Amino acid sequence: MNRWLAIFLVVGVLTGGCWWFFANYKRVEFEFTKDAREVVILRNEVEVGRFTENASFWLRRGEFEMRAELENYTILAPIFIVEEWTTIDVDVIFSDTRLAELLTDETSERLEAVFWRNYSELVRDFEVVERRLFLRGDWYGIVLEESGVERGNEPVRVRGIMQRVSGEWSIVGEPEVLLTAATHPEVPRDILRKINRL
Amino acid sequence: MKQVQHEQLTDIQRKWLRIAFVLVIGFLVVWVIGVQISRIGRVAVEVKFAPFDAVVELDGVRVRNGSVNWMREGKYIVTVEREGFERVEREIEVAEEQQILGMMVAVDDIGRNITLRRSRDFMMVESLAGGLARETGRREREDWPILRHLPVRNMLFSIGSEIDEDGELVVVVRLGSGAFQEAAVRELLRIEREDEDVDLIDYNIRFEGGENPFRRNGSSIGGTE
Repeated sequence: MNRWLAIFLVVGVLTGGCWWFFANYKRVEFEFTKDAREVVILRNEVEVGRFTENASFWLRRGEFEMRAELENYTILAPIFIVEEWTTIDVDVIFSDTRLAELLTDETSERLEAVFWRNYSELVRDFEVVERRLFLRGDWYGIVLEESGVERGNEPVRVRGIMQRVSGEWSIVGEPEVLLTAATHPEVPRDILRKINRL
Repeated sequence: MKQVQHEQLTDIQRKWLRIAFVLVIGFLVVWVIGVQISRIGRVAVEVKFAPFDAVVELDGVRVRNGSVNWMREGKYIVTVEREGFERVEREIEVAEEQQILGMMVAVDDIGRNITLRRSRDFMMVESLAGGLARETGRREREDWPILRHLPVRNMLFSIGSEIDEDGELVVVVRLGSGAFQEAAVRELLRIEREDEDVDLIDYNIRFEGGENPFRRNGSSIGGTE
């Protein structure tokens, strides 16, 4: 009798344990969208995992953060919430500091020369007043402002985007007063938001 | 003897009762199945044109006015006719369960008398249309949270909205002059900043009264270093 009770208890505890584990822990796959870098997974600032190539982990349900270990890199969407079995895209991009370093006067002049080649008729009427590189330095956002506006009038501002593909820069879509996913469907949404707010 | 005859009659009655019962149930089952089959691929459309004795036709086929009709999805021409009233003709698109509502306008004394006599029909359509408008407004504000903040009107610009041919919301910015364009942009960005549900990049935004000299009617622009 005691033996059966013991077996029953063991089976019960094992079943309960399995049930608790699968209810609370979920398999999460991490896939790099481009270049792989060392990434740390943190929960409440405590490291729970680390990977340098596509990997998967059993993580307890809740909120986590990813951090790129290499200096000058960051993660595009660092916060993720584990609720179910899921796949997380890991997009390692340059940090703001690194992007600012890359954006030298020489770089901006070079890129804007490409821009003005396409709008030579407007080069006297507008000037670039805000500029910023995004992601891995392969997206360039600018804000153009009408020049020579009479005092008391507010100048018109227009926002434009350029992208480097295979080493060559080109203008994406047309500059707009406000960029939207409809006017620039090929541009990552986060970049559109940031340029609008420049 | 009388007792036996009574029992025989009862048996016959029972037999007929059973047959009648089976026939009724059979008829009901066949009818229900037939109705359900006839509704396959159709959606429920409530047609209500006041007065409800007006003749409503969709693509020339008469439908029940003041009641639910089961129709295939697609575009239809609705015509509504009734003596004493102006004929109604309009195009509708049936895509989901919906209501087609309308009120006819009296053109002579006959129509005016009917309007008075059947005032309940008109009141019902009016109240349904009001409810529908409120529901549509609620849904639109859920789908397009920016509507919670519109319209915006001031001395320099107004920001409103309209629905385009594809059923998409267009945020329309009307400017007193191009000089106020950036002020309107700042207002839109303020709305986005203060309401986390609003993401400006998800909206079609049209500026009227200003100009964008960089726009070349959608021609592709390229350039290399």
